[in-house]
Amino acid sequence: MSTRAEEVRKKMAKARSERFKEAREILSEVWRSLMGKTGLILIVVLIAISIYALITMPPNIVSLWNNPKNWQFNPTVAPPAWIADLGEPVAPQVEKTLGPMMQGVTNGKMVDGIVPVVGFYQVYTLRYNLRHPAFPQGILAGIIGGKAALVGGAQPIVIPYIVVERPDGIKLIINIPTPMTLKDLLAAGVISLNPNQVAAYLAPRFNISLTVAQSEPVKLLFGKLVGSKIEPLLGTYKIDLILVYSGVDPAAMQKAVISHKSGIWRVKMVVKGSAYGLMGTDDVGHDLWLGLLFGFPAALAIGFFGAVTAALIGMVMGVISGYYGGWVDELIQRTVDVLGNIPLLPILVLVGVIVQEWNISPWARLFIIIGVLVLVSWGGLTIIVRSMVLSIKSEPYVEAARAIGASDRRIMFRHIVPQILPYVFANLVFSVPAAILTEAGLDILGIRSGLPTWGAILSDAEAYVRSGGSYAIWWWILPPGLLIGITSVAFVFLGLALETVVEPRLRRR
Amino acid sequence: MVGRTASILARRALFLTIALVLIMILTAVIIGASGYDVQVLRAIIGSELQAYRQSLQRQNIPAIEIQKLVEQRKQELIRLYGLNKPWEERVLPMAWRALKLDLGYVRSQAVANVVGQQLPLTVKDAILTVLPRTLVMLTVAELICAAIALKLAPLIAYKRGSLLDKAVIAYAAFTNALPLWWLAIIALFVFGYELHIAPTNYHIIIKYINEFTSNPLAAIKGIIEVSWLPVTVIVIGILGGWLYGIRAIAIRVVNEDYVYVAKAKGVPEDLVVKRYILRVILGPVLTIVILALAGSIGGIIITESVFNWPGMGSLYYAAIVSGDAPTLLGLVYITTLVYILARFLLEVIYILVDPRVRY
Repeated sequence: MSTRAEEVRKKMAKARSERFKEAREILSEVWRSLMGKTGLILIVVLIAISIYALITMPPNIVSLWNNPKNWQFNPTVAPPAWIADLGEPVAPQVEKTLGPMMQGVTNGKMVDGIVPVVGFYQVYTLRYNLRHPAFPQGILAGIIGGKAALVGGAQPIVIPYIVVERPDGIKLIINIPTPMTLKDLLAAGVISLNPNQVAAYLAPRFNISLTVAQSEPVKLLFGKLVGSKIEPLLGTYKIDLILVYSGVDPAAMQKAVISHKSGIWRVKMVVKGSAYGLMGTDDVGHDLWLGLLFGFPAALAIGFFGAVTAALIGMVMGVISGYYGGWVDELIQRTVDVLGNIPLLPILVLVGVIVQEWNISPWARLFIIIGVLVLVSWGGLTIIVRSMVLSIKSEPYVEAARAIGASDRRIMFRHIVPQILPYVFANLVFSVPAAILTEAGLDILGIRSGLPTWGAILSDAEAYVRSGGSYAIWWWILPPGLLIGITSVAFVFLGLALETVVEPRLRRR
Repeated sequence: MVGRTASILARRALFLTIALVLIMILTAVIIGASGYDVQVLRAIIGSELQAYRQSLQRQNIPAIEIQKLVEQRKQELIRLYGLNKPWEERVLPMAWRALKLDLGYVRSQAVANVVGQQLPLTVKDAILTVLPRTLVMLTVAELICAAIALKLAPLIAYKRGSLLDKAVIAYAAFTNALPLWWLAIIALFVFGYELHIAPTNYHIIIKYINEFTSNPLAAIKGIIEVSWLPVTVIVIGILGGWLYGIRAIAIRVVNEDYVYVAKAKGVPEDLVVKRYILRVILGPVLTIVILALAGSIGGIIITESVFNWPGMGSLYYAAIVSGDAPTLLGLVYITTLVYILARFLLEVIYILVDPRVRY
């Protein structure tokens, strides 16, 4: 008895190793063709980048991306910073997290010559060096470390000033310094440049009308007038954030700040550049590098989910249809007929519009849409698999298996499915791009899951141009489109190579 | 024999009709069961009541009276739009009426905007007005591709493995992978906005098509000026698929003995292709061409949206987004009907033309 079991086990192991051998053969044949090799290499690279993205990206990337507050320190619609290496003039992005350069109590003095101070005050300083003729997009100070606790039973009041000293010596306050409670200031989180304030101050200095100044106040701040044109003023800008505390005892306030009990002790000062990061930014200030990186695992997840489920349904339906025949076959084939006549995209758009209203997670929304795509699109594979099963069914070994009493399920999954598996796999690879392209296409129509996929980034770009923005936004349009194309082409190449390898094998049977 | 063929055709016709009915029911169920149409109808009623209230206020009617009148109007509207009934009784009869070609009236302003006309507007008129715009864009592009592919693809199959063959496969793979609408975005930005040699506003196609009967020559010139870029982009985007598809059909016959014999006899290459390859594969090729043309009348939603082209795809999109159930059901019905008719027509042609197909 045990020898017989041994024998069976050996035979099964042999059969298994033969399967592996066949898989290896197919793989090496695919590798020998140029298309197969290109496809395989590209897919390996895509998967590697996806893994890198999953490891390095913050886990809450989706909520991070969808909250504009997280991107307010970035310039908007800025090209990548490396255009500087191509000889383009670039105003660099400078961000520094700083502690106070100076803090103390005074009985009354002028800080920076223009800010009147009484009591406890702090000065945070950032120097910005503009070397190339380009305009930065603005100045922003954010509060990183601070706490709004009562000091001596009273809520501290703070007046923030941002003072810019230009290379030509002109000094101005660029925000509207209004007294706020410490609590409100911390809630606001940032102190920003006020364009009207800057324009009103600089218009008389440059002898231009207020309306002209108001049209481009930030350029004016970093510029000089040459004829009637504003050109960048090169040199070092000194930017001071001055916080003046009142409403509480100055000495107590100082003590509270030093012991980090109340007040502000850390700020992030930013000069928004004219270019940003590796891949630039969009109109919200999103770092497109992060979005594009997120797109890799997202695209692969969408593609694989769509392709694998469609292939599974298509294969199982095809095997059942071909193997059982009769009314089961008729039912499945007629279902495929109906599905083949459905206007696919309109139905997908309809479902997309509907689920957009639902209060579910972005991933759930996405997988419902791809699920509908799958439900409609498994028919093609079913027809092919059915015809294969019809010919395999009448092979002697299948009849032999049936004669010795093998169950239907065993015959289907042991004898038939392994034969058609290579073809199903080729078909699966082919259909990976379908789900990716569908998701991206729906994004373009404004049907968004809420995930920063490549399609979503492209759709933002398209909407930006439509609403009157500049169309010279190559860094925003080309990379996502090309990435969609490269990903799809990788699978199309591999699919083509697999097909040419698998088809003659099927024919030989 | 004839009786058998007729009964097979009748069976096919029955199945295709059932498929059509099922697709209409499916669409209606998606619209109704998801509660989508309710939401849209509530919005429509809300804005109508708002307008009604304002018009009453202008007539200096006392507030209590207004409240009563508005409430009365609200009940009327709820009955009119069928909101007092469950969705099965509201949407399914609509689908049933559509099946009888009673398509009803366009509900939303967004749909009327795509058509370029004012409400009230029947769904039938809306579709008939918009259809020619898709014909001059997508259907023309499909025809151009069909012509090129019929001319080139058999030759490419005949020279299987040549450099040209490989180039065509690679081209097909690339265009299959790159989204058509992305090519459209780039083309629109480059040729429209940057180089100014193509229009950036495509709504003007409405004007040219309306002028067609009064001044055909000027209209054709206008249509070409407006549509050259979309048509070119679509041709570039889908030609690869056409070439690959017809090449795949032709490849099955290029290795047949009679082709070798013809070659051996010294029949010139173009004659071999024409007589011994093209003629044999005409059946399946015809299938591809007819189904592509029938499918094209549904428009291409995404690319039309990129060009802001007021065609069938845009009509679909407007109907979906504004929740205009009558228009949407009408569109699904008409496009599916045309497609199914084309498939039936093909089966008839097969039986009539090809003596091998006798089931």
